[in-house]
Amino acid sequence: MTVAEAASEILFEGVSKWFPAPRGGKFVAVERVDLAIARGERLALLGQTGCGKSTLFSLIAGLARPNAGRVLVQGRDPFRAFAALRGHLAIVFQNDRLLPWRNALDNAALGLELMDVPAAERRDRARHWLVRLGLSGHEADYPHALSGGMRQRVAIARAFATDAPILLCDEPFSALDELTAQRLRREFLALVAETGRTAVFITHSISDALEIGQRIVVLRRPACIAYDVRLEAAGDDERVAIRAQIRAALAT
Amino acid sequence: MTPAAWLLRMATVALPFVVVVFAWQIASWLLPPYIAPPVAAVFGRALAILLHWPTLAEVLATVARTLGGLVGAFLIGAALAAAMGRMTPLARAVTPLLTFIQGIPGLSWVVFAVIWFKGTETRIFFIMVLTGLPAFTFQMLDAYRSLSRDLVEMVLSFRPHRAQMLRVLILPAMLPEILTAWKINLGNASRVVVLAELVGATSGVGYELMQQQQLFDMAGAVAWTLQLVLFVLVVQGLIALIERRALRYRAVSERQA
Repeated sequence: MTVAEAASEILFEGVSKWFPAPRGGKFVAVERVDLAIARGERLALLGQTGCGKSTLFSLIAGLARPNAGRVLVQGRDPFRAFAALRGHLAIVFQNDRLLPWRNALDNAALGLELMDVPAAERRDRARHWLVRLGLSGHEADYPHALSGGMRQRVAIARAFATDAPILLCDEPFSALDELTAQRLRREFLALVAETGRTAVFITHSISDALEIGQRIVVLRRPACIAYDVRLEAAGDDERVAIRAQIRAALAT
Repeated sequence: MTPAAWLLRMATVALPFVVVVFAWQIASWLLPPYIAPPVAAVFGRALAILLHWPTLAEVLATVARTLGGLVGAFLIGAALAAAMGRMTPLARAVTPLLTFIQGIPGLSWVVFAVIWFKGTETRIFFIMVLTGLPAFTFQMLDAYRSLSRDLVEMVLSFRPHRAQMLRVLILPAMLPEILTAWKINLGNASRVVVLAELVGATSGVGYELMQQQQLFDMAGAVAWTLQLVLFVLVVQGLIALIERRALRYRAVSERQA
């Protein structure tokens, strides 16, 4: 294992990904990306619509295979070692993606069920997270009976209940109204910080990226890194400057 | 639902049947019994079939053949649909063949089965499976292809085994279409089984109908037909019960589309 592999929770080395274009040729979604994400780091991936953020995400999740280069998650290829990474990754998607035939409790317990956690334990853990996310009393409700914000909370509970050390979040609050999104974002960040997980957030909002990330990576079309900045020690003035630089990177 | 509303609903359902029975009774007064036997005679015969073991056994044989054929067609169709859903070249190759099979009339399958097979049950099972297979396969394939990509990705993100994927996502997501396919194919199967028994069997409702035709016994013919109708109604009722229980998660809008 190289030094970079050992130090990184997620590692991209010269990764490219393309898809066959509808009229022949290929559509390049990700081009020669090198990126190392450290354990416990909170990274915001920022870019305009269609710049390949979601493809990068699928590559980390092992739902897609790179055409060139390699992706490593905890030192393993997430596509080939698909089953070996069970319980190591959890995703909060842009929309809640709850199973409509399962109630809130069973939806929150889904990841645990797929990890073969015994029924009683998974129900306890799922209930714990539902209660923490303010859904006490809604355990038996089906998704159609819950509001958008409540459904997204169930989806967050589903991800947190697995105790996965890596959280991938694909604009998880973008489908919600501003007030609900703000409140949920705050609660979510507190939970991520409290549990010390590695978290990768996809967003197209500069404000969100500045609020969420300890580090911001700006992607430009096709997904190659245009700007990479750490925010931990940045003061207010520096943040203003960073915001301007992000804007400039997005415009290129 | 209030008792009054329930009664009104039942009356609405029963009314067309009452009208048909009444019209039949009037016809029985005007026509000879071999054309329109009295309603009481028909129901008496129908009840007698259900209450006597030898005749009830004939009904049950037809029921078993129908259900056996449906289960066979469903299992083969579901397996074929799963393979076709995963392998596009296979789907391209098999779809025209299934369409061709679908175009062959049920009666032709009866003739083929009589020529090809010796045993009655083998013949009927073959006919039932071949006539039900294309519809089940196409319905299952359509349901499989309609699976939400978002939900598939979500479940895959937890890295499930294939069996888990089937249990937590594929089967529950396909259940509404599976139940609908059963409801549609049940009606077709009850018609085909009678055809198969008419020509290729020495027992069952179809065979008994043939006997009634030779005796010019209209009351018997209607009474045996009612057994099949009753069976279809009972199974449809069971499917409706399963639907109400298994699909209770579906939201119901106060104003229907």
